Amino acid sequence: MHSLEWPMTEGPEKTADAELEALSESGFALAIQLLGRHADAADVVQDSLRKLLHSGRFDARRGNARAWFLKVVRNGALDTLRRRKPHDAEAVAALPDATPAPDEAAARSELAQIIRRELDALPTEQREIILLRDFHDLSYSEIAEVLALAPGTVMSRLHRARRALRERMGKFLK
Amino acid sequence: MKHDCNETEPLLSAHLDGELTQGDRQRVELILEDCAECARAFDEMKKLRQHIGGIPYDTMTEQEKNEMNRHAESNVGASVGQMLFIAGLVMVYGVGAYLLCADLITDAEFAKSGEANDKVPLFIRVGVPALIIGLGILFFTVLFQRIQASKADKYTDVEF
Repeated sequence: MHSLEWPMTEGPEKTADAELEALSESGFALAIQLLGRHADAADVVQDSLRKLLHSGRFDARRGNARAWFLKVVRNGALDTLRRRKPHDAEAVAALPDATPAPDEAAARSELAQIIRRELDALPTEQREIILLRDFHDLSYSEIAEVLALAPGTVMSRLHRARRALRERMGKFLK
Repeated sequence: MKHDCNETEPLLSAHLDGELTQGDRQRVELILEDCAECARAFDEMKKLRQHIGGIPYDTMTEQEKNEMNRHAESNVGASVGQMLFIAGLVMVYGVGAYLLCADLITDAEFAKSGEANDKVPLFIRVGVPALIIGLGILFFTVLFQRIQASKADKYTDVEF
């Protein structure tokens, strides 16, 4: 693969290729969580990678590469959502769940499936903040970067989103 | 401990994430020991968090990863090539145009020999520089518009 070097590594053992792959995977996860369609998510990540590699203004010493990349992916995914026509959204909603391998399917808990379904039913604004925290494990300051929010807003918005999810989950959490 | 459960709930969420100050953390821990309702809400949040972290979402195939990296790399190569091409074009075009226009405007051969045959016709003397200058203005206008559009791109405008 390529051997581009930019100041992203935290240690000499991590190559730029490994960093790039980790960013791609993380970005793809967020894109699929927001868009639900594999091809759309792949397009958004590819476009975001291009922006990452072309952006001369990016400097990891001044911030977090992952938060920066997820911000670009998130903006790209929202643009894709805005461009979608009503029948597109219906088609995505009707898509079958991403088909996991048989052993993965066996391991997947019923509760996780219910949570995923309820998460998908939340407004994007609530879904994305929960996923950034609980799936992508971003800190509040990183979430503020990705969502372009004031750091103080993250706590209250995340709390509202979690409460909405808990209300939807109702009896399943008892 | 005296508290309002509704007001405490945002703190429970932040406590779960390890984002509270030491003072707030101690206060929340005391509330969790005392209040069954807050303890239940906290457990529910914790349970949700654990399961969300394990939801198996669709992932990229190895082939997609390779293609994506290759495509991103080729774009970098194309971009470098594009920049070199523009730099070379500007140099060659600028110097060439300057020398040609200077020669035409000053009518260099005519100035040396003084013969009428060496005099370049007026439409060439005016037309060629006009063409070169017009083309140059057109090129730099388009270039300027592209740069402006690139600066307005919200994805590249990320500062840390």
